[in-house]
Amino acid sequence: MAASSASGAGGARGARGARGGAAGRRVAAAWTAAALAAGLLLPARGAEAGAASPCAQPFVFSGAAVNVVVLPYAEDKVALDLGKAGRQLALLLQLDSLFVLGKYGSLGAVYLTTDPFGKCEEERVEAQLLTGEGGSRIAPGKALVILWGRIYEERGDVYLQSYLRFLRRDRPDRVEVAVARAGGPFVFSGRSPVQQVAFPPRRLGRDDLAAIEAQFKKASLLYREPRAGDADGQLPIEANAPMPYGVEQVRDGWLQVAGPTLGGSRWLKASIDPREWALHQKLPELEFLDAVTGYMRARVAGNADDRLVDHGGLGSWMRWIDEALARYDLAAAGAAAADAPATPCPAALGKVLAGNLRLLAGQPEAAGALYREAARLIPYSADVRNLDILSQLPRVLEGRALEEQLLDALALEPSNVDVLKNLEADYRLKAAAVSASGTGDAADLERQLAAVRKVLAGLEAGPTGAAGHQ
Amino acid sequence: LSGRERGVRLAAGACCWLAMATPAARAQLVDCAAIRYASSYKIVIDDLFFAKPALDADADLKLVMDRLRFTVNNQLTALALQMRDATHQSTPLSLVSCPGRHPLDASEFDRDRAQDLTDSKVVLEVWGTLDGSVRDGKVDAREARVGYAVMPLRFYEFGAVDLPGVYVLRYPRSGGAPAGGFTGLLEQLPELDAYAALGVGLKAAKAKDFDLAVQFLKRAEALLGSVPKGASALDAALQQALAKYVQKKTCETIEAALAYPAYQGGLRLVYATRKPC
Repeated sequence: MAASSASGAGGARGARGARGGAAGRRVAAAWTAAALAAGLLLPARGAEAGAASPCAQPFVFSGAAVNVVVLPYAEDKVALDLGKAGRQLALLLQLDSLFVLGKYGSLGAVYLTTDPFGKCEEERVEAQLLTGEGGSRIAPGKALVILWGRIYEERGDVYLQSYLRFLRRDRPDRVEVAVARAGGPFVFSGRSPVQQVAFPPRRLGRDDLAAIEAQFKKASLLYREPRAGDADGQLPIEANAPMPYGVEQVRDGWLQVAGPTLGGSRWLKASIDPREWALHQKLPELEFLDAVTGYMRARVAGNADDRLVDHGGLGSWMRWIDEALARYDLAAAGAAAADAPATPCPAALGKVLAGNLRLLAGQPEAAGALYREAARLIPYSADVRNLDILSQLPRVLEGRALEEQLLDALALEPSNVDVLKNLEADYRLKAAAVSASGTGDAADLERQLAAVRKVLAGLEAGPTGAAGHQ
Repeated sequence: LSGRERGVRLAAGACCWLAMATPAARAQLVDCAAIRYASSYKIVIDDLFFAKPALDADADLKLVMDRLRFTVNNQLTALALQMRDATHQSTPLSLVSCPGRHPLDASEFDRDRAQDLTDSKVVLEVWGTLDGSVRDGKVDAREARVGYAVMPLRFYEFGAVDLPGVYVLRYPRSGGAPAGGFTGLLEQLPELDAYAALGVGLKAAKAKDFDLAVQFLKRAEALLGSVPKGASALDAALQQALAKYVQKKTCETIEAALAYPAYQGGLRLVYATRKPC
């Protein structure tokens, strides 16, 4: 609580600096109130909370395990007012996130509104949420998922290109396998090849554009009761300060929400009836968002060593993640044009994330199968090969199999630190075994160990080679 | 320690094709000062360009132009995202927008210009051309062309017939779906990633940044190999020559690294007991 208050004051200072005067003080006060409210809303329930916030002052729920932040889809043509559709779509996606992703618990879903210049850039938002002194900031170890994109119109058809980025503050997305042997433990580690992904463009028809508008009209209203005719207000989404609310109840596609700016408990029409508009079929990336959110939720719920903790929910989470990835694969195949070039990155990343969870859950063979599928999709990735190697531990420790596979991975990316460190661990482990047994070529292993350490030291010191201009 | 943790990001979305196209009469390879500003490797994005003055009034071609812009800008953003994870700590890759700049054909990248641009660390230059035949004021046979100049390849192999380094892909694609028309322009342009990786790999190899060079040459090899048949309008013989060239350069780069006394990187471990090629 104290941290929330303090950071809220920081955000207030920033707001005053930008705006000044009475207006600035009002914004500052609103920001502080929002931050305090956010502190109260989320931890009390440990469930989900939503917010709308200006892009210039991005907002998250510090207490949430995962924050999903949806940026307005930027219009690609200045001549048309697609920005409106882009903003409307972003709100629909945020509310859908609250509704669909709330199952993972401890979720914050934030909808950012554009600044006066109509811009909302992901990199700046991410930087502010991770390192800024704004009123809300991702807490150490907690996760941030950002969804953003571009929207383009052509003769009534709309094309959407979406991007997704996910990360944890101060924690790279990595997995470790510890091998207990004499002289150990020996820790081998790897990481996901990417933490952001670009989806192929999706085409929406003229009727979809109308559907976005119609659904937005429903979704941006506040209702006394979860019934279509009971609207009695407007969700204050264009406010110049964060507008957080907590989710008290979920019922038949409706969310009961409460927050300081809502004037008591209200209902939001969060889910879109697929009979009215099949949002998830139109945008398969929402299934991917589901899987990534679940993955990050499971990672955040892990222990201090980043191992998964089976607290009862883990099994459900893993099932939901698998189901979401399967739905993504199916819907993406249906949404792609027949002659479209493959876009392997999202599919490969999905396999890696599912593989990571298997590995952390003690199912290395299942993990290995998934990693190998990913490696077929992006064969140039040393990280994916490295993860596959991890899944074969400790089985692959005998003989030179581990060393050979690590060298194969290193051949793809000779400065991959994870692979190099794993090679070092392999040599250390073997040197310890030789030392304990008194058999084997200890001097040769020491030479190899020294060689790996030399390469690692060189990478610590700076780039290899003579990077001149030729 | 990891380059990716400390790496400088490629400026995603900071550069793109702008909403206006260059009129045909003004098209030329004008100087672009921004190319010389940054010390990073660069992808230069030239203007979209109508090949003939009468075409800029054609509504259909304007739509094609918008599609092309949307797709290429998206792809550049996607490339920027990939590079967040892939770039070496000392090798930022930036996008440089050059309004008003547009090559008419490959001959504009003569040896001197290719050298000058390669020295400025331009790894790839991209442009777009909208064309069609105009008869009695009517436009038909509309065509979009996306041009790529892999600058280090153009310079290092200047004059090699099967390795021109400048590749122009035409849309609608000849191998595309019959009813697809310009549909391909709204899908990915798989060549862009492959050429960018190749440019970085070749330039890094010349700069003796061997680790980065091998990483990106291997990436280019995989990406070139994954361009689906029929998706590329590039002549099959040129495509094959390029694939063989990338393999050869990868081998040569590894051998050069191993022969270079100052190089103490991971390739020494990989090829301590293996043959590079």
